[in-house]
Order: sequence, then C-alpha cells, then structure tokens
Amino acid sequence: MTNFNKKHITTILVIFTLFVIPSIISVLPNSREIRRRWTNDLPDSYRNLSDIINATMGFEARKNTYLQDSNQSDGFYAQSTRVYLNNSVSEASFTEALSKINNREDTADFRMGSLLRTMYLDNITEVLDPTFKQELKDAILNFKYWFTQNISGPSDMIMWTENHMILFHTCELLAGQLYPNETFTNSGMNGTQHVEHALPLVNRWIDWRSRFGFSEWHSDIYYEEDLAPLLNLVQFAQDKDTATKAAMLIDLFAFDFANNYFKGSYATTNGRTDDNKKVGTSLLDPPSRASFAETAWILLGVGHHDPNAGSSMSAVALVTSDKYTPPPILEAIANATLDYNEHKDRNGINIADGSLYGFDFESEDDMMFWWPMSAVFTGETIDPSLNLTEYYNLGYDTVFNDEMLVDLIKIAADIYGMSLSEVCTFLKEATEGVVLEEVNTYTYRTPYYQLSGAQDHQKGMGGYQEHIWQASLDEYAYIFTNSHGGFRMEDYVGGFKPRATFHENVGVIQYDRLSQSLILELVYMFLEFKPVIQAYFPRWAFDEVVQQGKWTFGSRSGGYVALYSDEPTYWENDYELRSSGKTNAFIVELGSVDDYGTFENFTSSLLATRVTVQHLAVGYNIEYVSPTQGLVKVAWNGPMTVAGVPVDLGSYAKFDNDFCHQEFNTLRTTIEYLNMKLVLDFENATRTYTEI
Amino acid sequence: MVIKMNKRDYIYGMKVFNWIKGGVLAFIGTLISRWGIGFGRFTTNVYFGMPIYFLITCSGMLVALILKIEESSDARKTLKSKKLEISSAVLYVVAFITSIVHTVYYNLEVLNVFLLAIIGIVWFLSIFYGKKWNRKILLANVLISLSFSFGIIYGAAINGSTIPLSIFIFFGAIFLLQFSKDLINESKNKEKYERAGAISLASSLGVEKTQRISFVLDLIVILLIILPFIPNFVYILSLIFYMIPVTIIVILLGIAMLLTYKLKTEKTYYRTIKILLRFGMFFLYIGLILAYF
Repeated sequence: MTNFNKKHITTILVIFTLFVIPSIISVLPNSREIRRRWTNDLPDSYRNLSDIINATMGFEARKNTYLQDSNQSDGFYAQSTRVYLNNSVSEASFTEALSKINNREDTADFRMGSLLRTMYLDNITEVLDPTFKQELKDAILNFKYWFTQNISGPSDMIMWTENHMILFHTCELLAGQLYPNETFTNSGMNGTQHVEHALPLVNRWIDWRSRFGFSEWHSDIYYEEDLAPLLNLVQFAQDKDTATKAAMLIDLFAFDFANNYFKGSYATTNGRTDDNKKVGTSLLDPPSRASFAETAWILLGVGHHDPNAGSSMSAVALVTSDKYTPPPILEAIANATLDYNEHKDRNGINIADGSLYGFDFESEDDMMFWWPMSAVFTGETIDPSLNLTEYYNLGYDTVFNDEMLVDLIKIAADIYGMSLSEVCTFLKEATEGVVLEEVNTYTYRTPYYQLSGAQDHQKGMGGYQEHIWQASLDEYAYIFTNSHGGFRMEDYVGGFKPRATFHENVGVIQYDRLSQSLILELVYMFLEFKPVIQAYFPRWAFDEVVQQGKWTFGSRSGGYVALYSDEPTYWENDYELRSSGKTNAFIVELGSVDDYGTFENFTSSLLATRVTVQHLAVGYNIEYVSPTQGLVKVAWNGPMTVAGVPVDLGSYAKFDNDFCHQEFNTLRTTIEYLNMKLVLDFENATRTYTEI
Repeated sequence: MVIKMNKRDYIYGMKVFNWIKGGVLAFIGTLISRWGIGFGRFTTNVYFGMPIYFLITCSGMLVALILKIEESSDARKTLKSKKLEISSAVLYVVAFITSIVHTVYYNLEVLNVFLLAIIGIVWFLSIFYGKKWNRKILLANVLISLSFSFGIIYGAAINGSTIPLSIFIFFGAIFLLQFSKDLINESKNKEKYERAGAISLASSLGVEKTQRISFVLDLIVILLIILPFIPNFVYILSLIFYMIPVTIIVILLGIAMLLTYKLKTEKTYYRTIKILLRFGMFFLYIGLILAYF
C-alpha cells in the first residue's frame, strides 16, 4: 500500500468516525429520559383549604363576619367600617393616606375614594372629631380630580388607566355632591360644577365597560380598584340611573368570579397582574391572593376568608354599602359550577377596529378611550398622545411610563427616517404589545382541575403585565409559562406573548416572535430581558412531581397535570423550569383520578402519546395525540383542530356559558339558572332579578 | 509554473481573512432577509449559517490555492496539492452535512442546500478541469470573489426561498468590488506571474486594459450601491445609516477610479488603489449591517 493510499484511507476513517460518534451518542439512553420524582407531605392546613372553600354562610352572614374583622383592623380602609359601626377611628391610620392625597402622589385616588366614603358615612354616625373632619374636608377640597383642571399644578398621579379613571371620576362626583356650594381650590369650581363635570364621565366609563367589558381583563389586582368606586356610586351617587348601572357592573364582577374562581383561587388568565400574585417559592411564601379575594368571598362564598384581611378596599366598601346585595342567582351559579364549567368571554376591542365602534384617534375623548388600554405608543395614538401630554402639562412618566421611552422612539424615528407614527407602527411588537386589545378568554373546570387562557391573543408581541394562561389543581398547585421580558419589569408575567390555544383539558402554547429591529433587541438587553422561557411548576405545592423525557407531571388531590416542553428544560429552582432561547412549544394536558385511576397511569399514558413538533419560519406546527381528546393539531397560524373539528378561538360573545349568552357590544345581560333570572339592562338602567 | 510557495505563502494564499468575510456575509444575508420570519429562527440561522459558510469559504479558498500552486511532476508537490484537495473536500463535506442537519431539524426550505450543492459542483469542476486550464489564475480570482460573496445569497436562502432583490444587488457589488481588487493585484503582480509562466488577465489583455476593466467594475459597484436610494426599489430599514457609509465608499472608489483611470503603473499606486478598494469593501459591510440593524 502506498503512502498516498494510506492517507486516503486515513481521511475516510476520519470522516467515518465523525459520523459514527454522533450516531452512537444518539442511540445511547438520553439523560433526559431518566425518570425523576419528587414527593411532598403537605401539612393538613394546606389539605384542609378545600374544606374551607366550600363553607358557605350566606351573603349577610359573611358580610357580618367581615364587618367584625374589619372593625378590629387598624388599616386605613378599615376606618370606614369603624365609622359605619359608629366606632371611633384611628386618626393615625389616615396619616399616610392624607400625605399621598395632599401631595397628589400616584394612587392618591385609592385613598380619596375611601376618604369620601368615610365622610359620607360620618354624616350619618358623626363619630369623627370636628377638627379632624375639617382636615379631611380640606384635603377633599384641595384635591385635583382630573388632569384638565389647573394644568399648572404639580401632579404625579396617573389618572387614565381603566381603574384610575373610574376612581377619579367617582371621587369628583362624590366630592361635588358632598360640598355642592364650596369652592374647590385646585379647579376654582364649586361642587355642583364638579358634579356636572364628573357625571357624564362616570356614565361614559360605565357605558364602555357594559359594551366592551374590561380592558384590564380578569385583573386580580385592578378589579379591586374598580369595585371600590362602583360600590361608592351604588351607595352614594344621587343619580339613580348611575347607581343602578354601577350595581349591575358589580353583578357582572360577581358573575365573573363565579365562572373563574377555582378552589379558593382566581385561577384564570389576567390582563394585569404581578409576580407576587402568581409565584410562590414555598408553602411559607405562597402566591398572594387576588386583591378582591375578601370581596369575592363575601359576594359568593368563593375563596376563603382571612380574619386578618380586614382592610381590603373593596371588601370594606361592600360591607358598608347597605344598598348593594348580590342577586342570589350568582352564588347559586358559583355553587353549581364547582364540578363543571365551560366559560368563554370577550373583553376589549382592537385598535384597528376603533372606527367600527365609533372611536377615532384625534380628540381628547378618543384618547380617553385608548389610554386606559395602554395605547399611547401605537402608530395611531402616539401623536395625539404627545399633543395631549404637552397641552395639559402632564408628566411624560405618568402617560408613557418612562420619558426615556419617548426619547428612544424619537431617536429611532430619526435613525430610520420615519415619522413617530411610522416608527411606532414598525416597532409594534413593543408599542402595540402592551396594549390591552381584544381578548377572548376560555375557562374549563372539573372537580379536579381548571384550565384557563387567553385564546390566540397578540401572539409574538411584547407584554406588560399579562398572564396568558394557567392550569390549576388547587390554590397553590398550578402551572403556567412565560417568555421573560415585559416593560413592567416583572419576572414571571408580562413577557412576550405566545400563541396559546385551549380546548377543554388540553392546551398548546407556542412561543416565538417575528424578527424585527435589532436596536429594539438591544433595548431589550438593556432592560435585562432574559432569553429564556419559564414554566412555573412549584414542586412544593404538589403531592408528587415526576419528570421524564420532555414531560413534567404533577399530581395534587386526585388532579393531574402534564406539561410537555419541546426544548430541553432545567430546574432553575424548586418552582421554575426553564428552557433557553425565546422559542419553545408547550403542551399541557390535565386529568384526574376519575379518568386514569392512578397518577402512574396518567404519566404512562402521556409518555406513550405521539407528539410531533415541526419548526416553521415562525412558530411551530404541532400534532399531539391526546389520550382524552384525540388528535390535536395547531400551528402558528390557522385553526386549532381537535379530532378534526376546529376549535372556536374567537372572537367570542361577551359571555358564553350555560347561564348566559350575550353578544359583544350589546347592553343587555340575561343570566338564568333554574328558576332564577337576572336581567341587567344598561340601556334603560334597570336591574331585574326574578324567581319563578 | 514555477511559483515557489513556502509555509508563509500557503497561509497567505489561503486568505484566512476571506473565511471570516464569508461568515460575515452569510450573517448579512440572513440579516437583510429576516423580515417575516421568527426571531428564534433568525438567530438559529445565524448560529448555523455563519460557521457553515465560513467552512465553505475555507474550502473555496483552498480550491483557489490549488489552482495557484505549482503543478509539477514532483511527487512532493503533487502530495501538497492532494492534501489541499482533501482538506477542501473535508471542509466542504462537513459544511454540507451540517447544512442538511440544519435544514432537516429546523424544517427549512431546501434552497440553501441546493445552493451549497451548486457550489460543491463548481469547486469540483474547478479542481478537476481548472487545473489544466491555461487561465487558471483568472479562474482562481473568480473563485476567491465568488466563494465569500456568495455567502450573502446563502444567508438569505436559509431564511427562505424568496430572496429579496437587494441581496442580488449587494452580491453583485461585493463580487465585483473584490474582483476589481484582484485585477489590480494581477496588474501589480503581472511580472511575477509572467516569470512563473502563468497566464493572468493582465498578461493576456495587458495592464492598461485590465485596469480599465477594474475602472468599469468600480463604476458598476457605485451604481449598484446607490440603487437602493431609488424610492420603493429595494427595502432599506435605515437609509441614514446606509447613506453615511455609502458616501464614504463612493469617495473611496472615486479616488481609486481616478488613480486607475490615470493608468499609473507604479507599485505605489497599485498599493493605494488596493487599500482604497479594501476600505470600500469594509465600509460596504458596515453600511449593510447598520442599514438593516
């Protein structure tokens, strides 16, 4: 053999080896296929939560329980309870609130709403010290109730998110009613003029909510800030129609709680939430309850009562409002749906559809519709938003979150040679992603689990505080995913939104987003958006967690959840699974002891299923043979089909479930169950409850 | 042919800097054509596309080097040539297989594999037939220009089969600019090639004609890079970021053309022209990256 041939053979051997080594590696048992298992012996206090949940006492009994607990609280909001019960108040509890109000700090309106309630109630019970009451009166007369009033005055108050808007309008109305002939120092208007200014704005807000629902959909934070002013209106508004319509909106909140509460938790998708509501690191540091948890408990008996939570803003407002009682049908529905419910609803409209609903992008009124949706940076709204901000001398930080973002947009416009509107449209992933546009939410409940999500909502767009889906086995044992990021700088909510699609107990969640300006990517890096996708999977909250291959399973009280991740995952800590990169495809399937007998059967059934995940230019093409649903097919675009039948991903009706079907953008809600019927007619301001 | 090549000459002849340019151009192609595809796929394509095309450029440079080294009956030199052939083939095969894996795993459109296959065929034909061609230096120069400038088309092809017009325009500009630089190089090294018995364009057409061709090529390059300023012709994300480097390029090429037009044959001028064209190329890369950033 010559040297030449030897060299050839060596080369061939090298190439052959290069092929053989990867081949051998590929057939070796994959470390990811190894079965890992964690178990927990959860304490009885946790196990017994479900018993507490179903303990219903009736609305009046729960209300009285809360009144007594609230009476013991030193919290600021609880002082209304003390006045209501004819007890002396803790003046020290007002210090922080008065400081916020007098300095016109952000969220001063939360306190002002409660302060006004206290003053109204004190007109009946007269427990406040006259000097102290004068101090409170001065705070009311000096307050700034809307951004158009005295534009030279300093203010850090955000007035135009959905919840702030009704708070400010209600405060102005009630303050005007309370002091009709007094001059308000900030505006120079008297009380009657304030009423004339505020009443149409209150009714405009109520009209928008009755037609379009809530842009801050299912918010476990901000519904609290909607409920409190609405209860103030019910109790104190002199305009009867306004009071009635406010009561009807509270009914709709209660209807929402009935449809979305599961085992003590508001276990649903949220338009606005934050990390501490969603993430718990251990049983000693669990996720916090919805801000309105006490209110939901008093209204319907859902959730559970914490005797130390006596200073909840809306709960105090509820128990000190004699004029509001929830129609019994709502609690009946909450009880009737404990074992099964399938609920769809729609909230909000898309910016592109504005003209269909009579909204333009020019006037101050137009902006007051768009700003509560966080639509300040879009191509349509950027110029009028800047004009309005400059005209009324508003702080850029209060309108645009951060003045730096406006500067960045202006720089980007110069770089790209575009107008502000064009550059905002070009960067819509960020500028429109934060907008709370049309959302179609879906909730499916069995005795063992609840799956809830926003169907196909703003896929690939950057978010702010959105929580797109969660699968729950109980109050703490639930899972969700999130693509890290979001301009609110939360770690577990508000990231880049997936294409999430759901049908009964199955969900497919794909993360990807279109390529765009790399300058924007640099901004994301500057903001420390991490290139990871997270799955919240709190091992501490489950009886048992098993991981095998691409699947992670959890069991809790007879309910089972399985999460498939196409990309490899690793445990970042005890409660978070992570995959690297900004793309991934997840499948979630829920089951129970009734369906599978044992958790072992559940895991083996899921491990035996066929999952095909094919990469597309953007997103994935996914085929999954569900043990319960059959072949589930969905891609980045197009329909989701289950066993060959397309799934309704929206647009939904305003409400669609066994108890109510109401078309979107209509003003009459009819809720029926057994012999009970509730008709909420916003057009004629009539609220009719009948039992046949 | 009697070009004597030592180790340093080999390294120089492999044109290591062009390997990097090939990878960078693949990145630019992916960057320009990324609209409408997912950011995840874009980043994956960059991660795969750059090294794949880096290897392709390496293999192309080795093919060009094979054409340039001495063809001799001397067994030692034959062995060197064979070594280079095998190295080129191995690099190409590794790149090609990686591209197949990339395409299959990520479900890409198959155009990019076809393009690499075409490149492979060109490399093969160049080795097996080009060596016997008496204008192999010209062929080598074409291969050098082609092997890395084609990266921009490959980069776009991994994003999808719909390749934007701008890609072809910039491919043309880069290819011609490199070729022009190599023609100037040939003019500069005409005597060296002639002593070696090699037939270059400069020796067959003459230095003046070769320089005129270089002049025309530079002019075409200028026309190509100002084409995107025609409204709605091709998509440029940031015209301002494009305009600044292009202005510099036009000035650099303008000076180079002026010197070329004067038909100066002093080596100082060749060196100056080469530097001007090299900087022109550099600013073109910068311009493309900034324009689509």
